Amino acid sequence: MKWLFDIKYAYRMLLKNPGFTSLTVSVMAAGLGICVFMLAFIATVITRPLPFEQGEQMHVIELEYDGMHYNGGSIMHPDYLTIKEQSNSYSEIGAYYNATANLSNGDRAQRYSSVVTEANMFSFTKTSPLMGRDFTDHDAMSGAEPVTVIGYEIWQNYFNGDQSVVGQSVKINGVDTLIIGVMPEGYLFPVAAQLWQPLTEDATRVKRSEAAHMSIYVKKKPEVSIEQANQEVKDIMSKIAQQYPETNSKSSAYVTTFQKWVMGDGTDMIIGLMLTAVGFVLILACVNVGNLLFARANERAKETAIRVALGAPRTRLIMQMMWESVFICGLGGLFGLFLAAWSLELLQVILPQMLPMSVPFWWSMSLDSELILQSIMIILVTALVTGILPAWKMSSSDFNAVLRDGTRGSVGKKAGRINRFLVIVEVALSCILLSLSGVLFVVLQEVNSSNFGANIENKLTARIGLPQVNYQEDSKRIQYYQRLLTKLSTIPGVNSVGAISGLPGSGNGYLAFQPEGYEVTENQYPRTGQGVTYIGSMQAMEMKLLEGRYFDSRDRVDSLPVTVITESMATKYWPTGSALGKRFKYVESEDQPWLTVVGVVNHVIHGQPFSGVKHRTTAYLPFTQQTRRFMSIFIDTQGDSEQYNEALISAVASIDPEVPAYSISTLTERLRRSTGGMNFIRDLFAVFAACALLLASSGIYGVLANSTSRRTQEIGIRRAIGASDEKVLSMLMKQGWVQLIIGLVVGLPIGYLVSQGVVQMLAPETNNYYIVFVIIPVIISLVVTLATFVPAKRAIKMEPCSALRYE
Amino acid sequence: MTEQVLIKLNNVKKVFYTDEVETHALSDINLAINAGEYVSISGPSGCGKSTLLSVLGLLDIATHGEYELNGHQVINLKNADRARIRNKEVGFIFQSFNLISDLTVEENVALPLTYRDDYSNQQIKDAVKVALEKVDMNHRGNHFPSQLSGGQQQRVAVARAIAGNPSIILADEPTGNLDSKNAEAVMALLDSLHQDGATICMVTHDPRSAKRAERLIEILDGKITADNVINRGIHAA
Repeated sequence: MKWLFDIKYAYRMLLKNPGFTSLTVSVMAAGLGICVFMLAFIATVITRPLPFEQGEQMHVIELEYDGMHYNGGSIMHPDYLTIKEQSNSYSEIGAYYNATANLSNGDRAQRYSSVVTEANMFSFTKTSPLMGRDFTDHDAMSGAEPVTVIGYEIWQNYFNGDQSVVGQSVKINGVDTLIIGVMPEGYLFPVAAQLWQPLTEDATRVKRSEAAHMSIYVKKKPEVSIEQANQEVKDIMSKIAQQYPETNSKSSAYVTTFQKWVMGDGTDMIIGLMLTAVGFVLILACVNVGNLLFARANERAKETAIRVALGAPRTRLIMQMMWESVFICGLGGLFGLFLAAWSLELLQVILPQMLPMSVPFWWSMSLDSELILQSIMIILVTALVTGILPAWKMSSSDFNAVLRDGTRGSVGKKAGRINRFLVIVEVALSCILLSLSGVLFVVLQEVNSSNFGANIENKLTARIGLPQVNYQEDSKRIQYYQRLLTKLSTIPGVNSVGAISGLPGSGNGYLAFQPEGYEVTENQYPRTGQGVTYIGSMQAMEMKLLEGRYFDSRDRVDSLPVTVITESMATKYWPTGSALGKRFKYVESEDQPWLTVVGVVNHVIHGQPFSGVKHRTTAYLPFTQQTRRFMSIFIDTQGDSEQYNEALISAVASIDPEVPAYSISTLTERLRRSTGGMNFIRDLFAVFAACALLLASSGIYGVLANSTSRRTQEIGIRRAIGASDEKVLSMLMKQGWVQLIIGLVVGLPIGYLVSQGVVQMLAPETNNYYIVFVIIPVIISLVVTLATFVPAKRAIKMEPCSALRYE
Repeated sequence: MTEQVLIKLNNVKKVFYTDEVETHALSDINLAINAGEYVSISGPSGCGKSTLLSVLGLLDIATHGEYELNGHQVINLKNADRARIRNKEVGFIFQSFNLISDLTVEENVALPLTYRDDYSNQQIKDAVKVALEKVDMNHRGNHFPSQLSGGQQQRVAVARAIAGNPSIILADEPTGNLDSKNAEAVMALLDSLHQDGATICMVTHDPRSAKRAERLIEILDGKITADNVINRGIHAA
């Protein structure tokens, strides 16, 4: 009960100093809020198991090609069957591939994300349909009646929650399909599926090169480690590569969690950087509050001395100080938790608009009981960290000197040293964070302003997927796109139209090829992107012709197979002389024709404009010679492209009502989304850095104000014996500058080294970011100078006689 | 009747070391104080009287010598033990009152008792009440020190010193910060406490205050130069 005495006192002291309390609570709220937010974000996207029974054992097996991890359905069906047969690491295994489903009930068509999966997917997740049934082995047999299980969203939105939806027949990609079940709300396994169809392909009856590419879902046996599972699948893939070198020479596979698989390579580094940044912010907050508490404890040296004289045990003295930090961190933590919860809710809303992909179903940004528990632990630790130093230091101070002569004895000197050290730490930490944030900003500015090699302005784009069953023949596909583009070009305000398999900024197939006369050893073929464009589309996209010609009416099905390549490909593979007339062929299958280069256009970026991908070469093929079912269409418009949405949808529907346009957006919006993830990270770092700067400046101000206040008498004496205001001001400013310089000397090199990771990952060739290491010291210097100047100016405003009497 | 020796110092020295300078604050102090005695220690500024009081109150450690308090050697105790003995055996009265400004009068008086394990909350309340009654301050229990006059603050400090029934009260210039009227009131309070059996050891350079004690010890340059019994029995009831 005697603890209550101390608790009551700590509470009273905090109430008595509302300025101090609100400052320290705000600082801790910011530090803890950011920390909890980040932990929740990481838990949601990376560490929290999938929300299914044995979710922690659910993993994915994916392709690793030439050391690079793929994350989008890349293992050949026959390879999957071999893995399934030979592996012992899993209690359950299945495979699927992503598809798109043009769903039509005769009235209207709508495009949905679907997966074509083995029949065990629902039992794998131990989830039963809300209505109807799931797949049976019979459904997955070749020639079985086409069936589908639809998701809750389709049931609600497309079928308006019709209770008799099960048993209805709809057209999916032009095929009559029976709806056999509806999955519960929120079920989107494996990532963001809206509709499921059984895999009926018999891999043993198709050629390896024509087999479907799959993603494999597995439930790892608990006793098997991820390393063991990885080794096993690599061994199996190694044997397959020996057997089929022409298709599998550099192919292997890897096992990973669904969460890491979706986030892709580099996740660990980014998460590591984020955690480091958050850790720095939290440390800054702790240093800040610890420093202020320390200064305050120093002010209360006499009170502590009295307590000591009255026989206070050391533990009570320490706890007396600790209670205040417990209150500050507890209250700050509470506000921080609210702040984090609100930010997570906000993030959940804005995330779908920021990312190029559908948000995975497990990305439910919220605080769960485990996170709240972790947060409480962090709050307790921060309370300990912020309170222990002042408490310990004060309880071991020279209380006798304080009691004897009323001064702070040796405490003042020691406290000053510790204060100065903590200010240096604050400057260094904020310098590191600002450097990282600044470099990220500069690099991503460069990435965002990348020249994609095309005019991306005023383009409205959409995806089109022709159903296999209705558009099997090349002629039908050519006819469809010919009619569609003609129709689109008649929309008033449309300047030009085009169709391309992958828009600038979007991925293309990245295929192995052999340039004629190019020596290839042991199937080590080079790779290049493969794009297919409709005649006139390159001109409409304003890709600049550097040599030769664009595709035109000469490029027919039966004419010489031709290609237009990017300048980057021309200079890489035919560095001397012109590439025109040179030939190459893709080697995925034996029947690939030799393609003759008839034109060279400027380099075009396909995929995210980051490091490796940015420089990938591309070869374009004419649609007439290489038809595709899936294409991106675009219209070049006068004025705001978004105003043409309805006109585009109507034009597409008028050609074939069963083929809807989907993923409709402007090209600039599409490109913004493609770098949305990195931009989000940049914004997060900007918040961290702003917090760091704010924390550091308030901390430095607090400490310097305190130390200046402690020197008030000294300042009075100096002025009384003739020191000018300028001399006193310069003396006080110097104390801040010394710490500033030491902090910068420590922080800048560390900031440079840490930011190198970001530069190497995103844009290793860039060197614009050096300016950051000039600007950051200037910003920090200004802040520290201001934080020093304000209390110094206040000190010299006091009349010398008042300063001499000051206590 | 044999008098009980409460404090016994043998050859006590105290040396301060600062920047290669040795200052001998106390040299070969031999002193015994009996239970119930009222001792005054006086001398000029810097003679070592406050240092002696600090050593007696276990606020400071003698550099050399022996110190027996209430029958126990206390010279080589750990900090925690010194704190415990100080809390139980010694009551301090300081020149500048040294009340904690953010605690009420009652809380200030209760403070040393909250550090003791042998006092329940009720016992603390009772002891505070008794102590404040003794100094006639129970009507100001909920006030803060800043709301009291200097004399009242010193009375509260006296109440704090006696609340735990210590073996000895150590007073360091208890009237140094008071006007003559308040000083007289505080000295009368000490007289009264002594009459009730309290052992008091007071440092003062005020001859009038010093003469109220039974025994006058004079110190010069860290050495006891005089030790005279002057008023033995004067305060006896």
